[in-house]
Amino acid sequence: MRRLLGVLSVALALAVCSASAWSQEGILTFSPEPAVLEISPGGRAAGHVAIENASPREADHIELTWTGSTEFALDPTPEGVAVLGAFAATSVEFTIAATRTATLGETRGSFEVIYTYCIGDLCYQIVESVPVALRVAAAAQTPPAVAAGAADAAAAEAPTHVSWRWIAFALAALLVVPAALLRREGRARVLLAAALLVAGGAALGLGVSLDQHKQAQAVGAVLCTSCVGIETVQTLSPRLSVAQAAAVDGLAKPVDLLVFYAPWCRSCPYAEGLVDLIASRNPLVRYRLVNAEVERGLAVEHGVTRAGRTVVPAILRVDTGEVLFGAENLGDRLVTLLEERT
Amino acid sequence: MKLAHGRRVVQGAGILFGLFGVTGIGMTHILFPGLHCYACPWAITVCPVGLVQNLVIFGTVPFFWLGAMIVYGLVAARGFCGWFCPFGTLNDLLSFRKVRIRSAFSYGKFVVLLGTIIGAWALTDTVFCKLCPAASLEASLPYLFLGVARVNGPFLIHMATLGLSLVGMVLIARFWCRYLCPMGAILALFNPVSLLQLEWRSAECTGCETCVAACPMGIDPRREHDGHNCIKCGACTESCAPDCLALRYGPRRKQ
Ligand code: SF4
Ligand code: SF4
Ligand code: SF4
Repeated sequence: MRRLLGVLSVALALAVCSASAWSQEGILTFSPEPAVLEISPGGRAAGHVAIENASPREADHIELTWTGSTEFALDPTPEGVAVLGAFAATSVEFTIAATRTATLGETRGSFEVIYTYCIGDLCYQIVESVPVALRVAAAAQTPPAVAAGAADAAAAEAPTHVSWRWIAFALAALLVVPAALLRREGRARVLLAAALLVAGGAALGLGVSLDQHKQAQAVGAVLCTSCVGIETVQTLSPRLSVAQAAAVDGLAKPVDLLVFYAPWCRSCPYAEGLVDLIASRNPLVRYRLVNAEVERGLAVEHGVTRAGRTVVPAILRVDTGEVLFGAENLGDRLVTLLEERT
Repeated sequence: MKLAHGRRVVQGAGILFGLFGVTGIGMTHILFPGLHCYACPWAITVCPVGLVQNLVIFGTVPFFWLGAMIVYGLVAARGFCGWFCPFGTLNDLLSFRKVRIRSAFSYGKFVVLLGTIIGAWALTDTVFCKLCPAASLEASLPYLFLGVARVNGPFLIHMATLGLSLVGMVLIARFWCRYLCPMGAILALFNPVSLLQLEWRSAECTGCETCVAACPMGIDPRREHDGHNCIKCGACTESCAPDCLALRYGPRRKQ
């Protein structure tokens, strides 16, 4: 009876875990067109990436960069999309330029797309790779191949792979239930262990192929102050008290600040907003936003890491090297930081 | 070398591994096979409980996480609790009173695991981490001395959970591991299939029950040697005079 209770609770946990993630799974699909880009060495080819938002959430700051072979480059840098509303679609035009020495033949490249979306106060940055096929041919004027069919197929496939993942996950996770219930030695145990080994190996492999190991590392590498309860999340809109505003107005020397943040950090927008508020009050205060996940080196160099762990939000005063961590009571702490003489 | 000494050495290695970041190595892709906070300034590994909360919030299908848990489950399951987990080692060092387990309460850890996941989903926040005593010890306190944390509400909550767990550990051996640890709950699921098994040969048992007195988890090793509460520490095997309890590694029972 008790054993049954244990198993039931676990099954329920898995179900909730699945359901929750199902309801929050990924939101944009990208399909480059034409499916195969015809390009000549030294030449250029134009196309567009169709972007579809299949979710009830808004996607922000969609940017496209080239991460394929250096024989090609985006020229000019395509314009990003500031906001893509729920269930909306758009497309981004791009032009790819090939170097004169580009190798002839078929090759593959990829765009890296970055965008963010928010659920409540919590925002995620999604980085995805969008593969494109290129055909480098000496004659520049070959008409582009008719490949709309392939692109359609890719677009149609995109929504289903999400549920595929969940089915695969549920199948693997279901194996755990008999494992937990097993009470007898013998063949059943060996078989179950073998099945679990296969499932575990497959899950690991799939996880790695989806870059989930990097995601795990990213979660561990940058620590947000509210994540494990160093302070509470600060989501109010930033404000300065009268005394703080007066102190900011009274600053007479230029100060440069670096504001370290992570895209998923919930207190960071508050810290960013407060610094922006101060900078707009007094132009002597200048600042730059630094994504601590991307510019890790900068964080290390400026001592925004503590014993190897980068902590966000962190505000660095460049000339004194002083750092403020967290968002709690930040107004007063910032004013003190700004008022200090060098 | 006695088993107990060997276990201390392995536990020491677990702590070294947990704090390997002092060498300057940053975060790796490895999940820790135990409850060890990724926010610890010297951690080079990701806490599975912390990670899975984040994945629930992100809405990621956690293949990598599941795969790692299955592999750890097969390799040793709760053997990691008995032999490797640094927070478990702390529990161990305070194991003075090996009172019998309250089996009903021992399902508390599954409830905590469930609550951890539901909490992360419902509140889109790492709720468990804010109460986690491992984080109190491995993150809150170090960061206080490193000038990142301040004595504030969340800090005091952490100190309270750590204090309560410590008191629990002193009064009841392995208190945290017995009743509350969600990581222990995950590893416990794999106890029956793990390659590391505690074996009991009933024929030789004299019924002296010294093993029951020796077990830090407070279980009866004869009846629950493959249940979810055994951490495969081997304390019972050393206490058993006729040698009818033994740790074994491999898929099959030796005849
Ligand atoms: S707070 Fe606890 S559960 Fe969260 S990451 Fe740290 S050790 Fe893991
Ligand atoms: S039950 Fe939790 S804290 Fe105890 S040893 Fe296992 S993982 Fe570590
Ligand atoms: S039954 Fe034996 S191996 Fe298992 S926890 Fe108790 S003493 Fe350790």
